Amino acid sequence: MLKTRLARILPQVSKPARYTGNELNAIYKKWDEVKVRMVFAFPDVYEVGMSHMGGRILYGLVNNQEQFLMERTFAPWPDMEEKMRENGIPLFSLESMRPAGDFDVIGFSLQYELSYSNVLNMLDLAGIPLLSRDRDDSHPLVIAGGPNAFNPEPLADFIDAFVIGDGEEAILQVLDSIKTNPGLPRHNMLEVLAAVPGVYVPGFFEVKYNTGGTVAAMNPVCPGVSPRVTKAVIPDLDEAYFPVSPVVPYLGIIHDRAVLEVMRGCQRGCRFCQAGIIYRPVRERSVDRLREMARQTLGATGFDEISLASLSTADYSEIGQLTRSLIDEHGSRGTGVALPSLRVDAFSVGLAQEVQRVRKTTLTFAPEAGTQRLRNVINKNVSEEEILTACRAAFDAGWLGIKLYFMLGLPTETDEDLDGIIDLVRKIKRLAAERSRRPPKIHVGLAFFVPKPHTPFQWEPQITRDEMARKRQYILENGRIKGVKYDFHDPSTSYLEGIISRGDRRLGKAILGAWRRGARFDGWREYFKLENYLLALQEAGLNPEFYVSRRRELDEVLPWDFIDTGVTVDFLKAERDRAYRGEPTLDCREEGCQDCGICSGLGVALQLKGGIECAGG
Amino acid sequence: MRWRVEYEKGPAIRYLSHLDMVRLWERMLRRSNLPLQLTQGFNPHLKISLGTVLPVGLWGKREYLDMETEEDISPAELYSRLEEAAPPGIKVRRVKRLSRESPSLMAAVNTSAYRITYHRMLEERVRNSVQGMERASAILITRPKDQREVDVKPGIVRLSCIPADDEFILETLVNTGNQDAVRFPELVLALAEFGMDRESIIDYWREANYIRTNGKLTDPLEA
Repeated sequence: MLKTRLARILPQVSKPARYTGNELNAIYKKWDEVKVRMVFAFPDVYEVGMSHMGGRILYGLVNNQEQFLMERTFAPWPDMEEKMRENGIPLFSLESMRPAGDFDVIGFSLQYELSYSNVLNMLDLAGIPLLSRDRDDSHPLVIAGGPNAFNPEPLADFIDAFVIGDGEEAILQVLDSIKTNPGLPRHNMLEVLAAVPGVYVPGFFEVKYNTGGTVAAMNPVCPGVSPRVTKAVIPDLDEAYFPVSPVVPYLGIIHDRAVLEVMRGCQRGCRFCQAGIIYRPVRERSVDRLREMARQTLGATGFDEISLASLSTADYSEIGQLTRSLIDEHGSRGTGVALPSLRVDAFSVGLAQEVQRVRKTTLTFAPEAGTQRLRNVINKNVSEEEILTACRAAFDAGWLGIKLYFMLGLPTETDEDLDGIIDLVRKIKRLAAERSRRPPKIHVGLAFFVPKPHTPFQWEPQITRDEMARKRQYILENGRIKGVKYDFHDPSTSYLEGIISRGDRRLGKAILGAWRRGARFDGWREYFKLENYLLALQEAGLNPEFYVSRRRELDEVLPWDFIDTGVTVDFLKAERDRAYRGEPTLDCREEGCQDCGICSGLGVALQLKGGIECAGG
Repeated sequence: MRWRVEYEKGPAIRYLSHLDMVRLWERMLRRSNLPLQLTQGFNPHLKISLGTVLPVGLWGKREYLDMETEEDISPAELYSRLEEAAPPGIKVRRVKRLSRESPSLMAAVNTSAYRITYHRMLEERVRNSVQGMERASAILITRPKDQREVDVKPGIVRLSCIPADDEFILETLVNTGNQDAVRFPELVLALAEFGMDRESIIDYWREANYIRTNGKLTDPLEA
C-alpha cells in the first residue's frame, strides 16, 4: 500500500510534512460518493503552491459541489522524487494518498514558464503519458489554467485542454460536462469541453508555418470548434465564490496568512505588464463582503495577519475605510493587515503606516525605470518628485530601509536610463541619510525585461544575454554607493523565460528534451541549468534567438493571437505607438474610457465599489 | 491565569518541527476564542510556552504547553474550547491551573520516556542489546549535531522491555535536562551500537515526560 511505502521513505527526505497532508480545513470526501474526481497539481514545491490564491479558490469551489471532489498534489522536491522513483511510488494526492493517475482530471496551475519542466515531471511521476496524443481512456484528462495559459502553445503537446481566464465558472462547467457524459471516449469528451467558454483544446488545431518559421495560420481541424478562444470572465466578484476556510498548512509557507482578494484586474496600464491586460476589467469586492470574509477566515484558520491581495491594492476605491475597519475589528487581538502591492506615492506610505505593527523595516517601491522619458514609454505614470516624496514620507515615518524595483532592457532604453536609475538611487540615499535616524538600507532589485504576449510590447525583441551582463556591469561599476545593495535577476533565467513566454508549439519538443536531460525546478537557482534547454532546442532544430531577440512584424501571426483577452490588438498597437512617442495613457477609472475593448467586447463593466460604476463602450 | 495543558501530538503530524508546533498552537488558540493573555508592546503576541521539544519525526502521547488567559475560566471550559479548535493530529488530554510560583515547564521537565517498537520475532535480540547496554560502562556514539564522540550511558535512566501482541516494545527513560541529556537520534545510534539497527524499528514515539527529583518521577500536571 502507498501509505506504508511512504512511511518508510519519509524519514529520509527533507521536510516530510510537505507530503503528509492532514492540515486543518483540508477536505476529505468519499471517493465513491462523487461523480467526478480532480486533482489540483501545482508544479512547484508545497510551500510555494500552498501560497497561491487561485488554488485555494478552486479547491474550496470544487469541493463545495456535492458531486465533485478536488484533492491536491505538488512537485516533490528532488530528494523526494529520487526516493519515490526508487520505491515505485507514483505522484499521489495529499488527501486520499491516491495515485494522481486514478483521478478523472489532473489540473495544472501555470504561473511561471520555468515550472513547465515540473509539469512534465509530475505527469511522468503519475505514470501518465507525457504527450496528449499517447493517452487513452484509462488516463486522466490533463488540463491547465492560470496566467500562462494565455500563451498555451509551448505546452500544447502535453495538455489536453486549457482553461483560459477566470476559472471559477469555467472549471465547474468542465467538471459538469464530464459528469453528464460518463464513459464518453476521450476524443469526444474533448469535443464537448471545447464548447465550454474559455476552453482551448490544442489537439483540435493545426498550425502552419511560413518558411521563415513564423506562424502562417492556425485553424481548427475539428468541425464545430471555434477558431478563436475567448477568455472566461467573472462579471461580479461579490457574487463569485471565495474560500473563507482555506487549508491551514503546518509548515511555514511563503505567504502564511489569511488572503482576501479585494479586487481583480488593474487598469494603470503599464505597457510591459501582462496581468494588467489579461485580468481586465477591474472588479472590486465590496467592503462589507470583505469584512465578512475577514471575520470568517480568521475564525476558521487562526491566522494572525490579513493580506489584502490584488495587483494594486492602494487603488482599491475604499482602501482607507477597509483597512481602518479591519484594524478596528481585529487589531486588539494582535491581528495585523498586510498590503502587498503599494504604489509609489505618499498616500501609499500613509496606508502602510496605518497598518504597520511590527518594527519598521523596509518598504517596497517599484519605479520600474530610472528616467521620466522611459517611465513615459512604459506608462508608469509616476514622476521623480512623487517618488522622492514617497521616500521622504517613508523615512520620516521611521522606515529603516527601502526596496526599489527596476527593470533593465525595456524598449528604447539607453545608458542614460541606467544613469537615471543610479541618480535616483543616489538621491534617495541622500534623502535617507538626512531623514533616517539609523544608517538606512537601500536594496535595489533589477529584473531583465521579458516581453510578454498580449501586451503592447509583444512585438519587441528582448535584449541579449551579453547585453544583460553589460547593463549589470554598468550599474555595478557606476552605481557604487555606500549602503546600497544591488540584486540582479539571473540573465540565463530571464533568457529562458523569454524563449518560452512567446514560444509556439514547436517548443514542446525542446521542453520535453530539456526534461529528459534532467530539467526540473528551473525556477530554483540551485537546480537551473540553461544547457538542458540550449541542447534540447538544438536537437529540436530550433533557434532560441528566433523567439527572443527578433523584432516581430506588426502583421505577423503570433502564436497566441487566437486567444481573445477582450483587449483588442488595435489597442495594443496604439499603445505601442504611444510608447514610442512617450505619451501616457491614463487610467480609465479617472480619465474616462481609453477604448481597450474589454467592456464592449466581453459584455462586462468596470466595477468600483466606492460608488462609481462605469459602463464600457 | 496560568494553565498547563497536556496533549498528544499524533502520528499524523509527527513530521512537524518545534517551530511548526508553536505556529500550530498559536493558530489553534486564536481559533478557540479564549480570553488569551497577550504580551504588552507594539507587537503583542500570545503568552505560551511549549516546554517539551519533540524532534521532527516523533509523535508524542503526553506533551505539555503552558499558557495564560486574561480572566479565570473553568478547566472544563478551557478543555472543551481547546478540543474544539484542535487541528487533526492534536488531542487535548488534560488541563490544570498553575499557581503563580510553579516553575516553568522548561525548567521542570528533565526526563522523557521514549518507546521503540520492533517485530515480536526480534524479542531475543532486543533483550540482548538491553543487557549489553546495561552492563556497558560507557556507550560511545558520534553525536550527529557536532560529530563529537560522547558517552550517553550516564543519561540513560532505565531500559524496560514490554511484550505486546505482534510487537515488542523497548521503553527507554532518558535524561532530557541540562546535564547528560540524551536526544532521540543519539538513542537510536546507541541501540545500533548494540545490534539494533535503525531499519528494524517499526515505530517510535515519546510516551511521557516527567519531572525527576531524587529518582522519583512526577507527572508535570501534578507538580
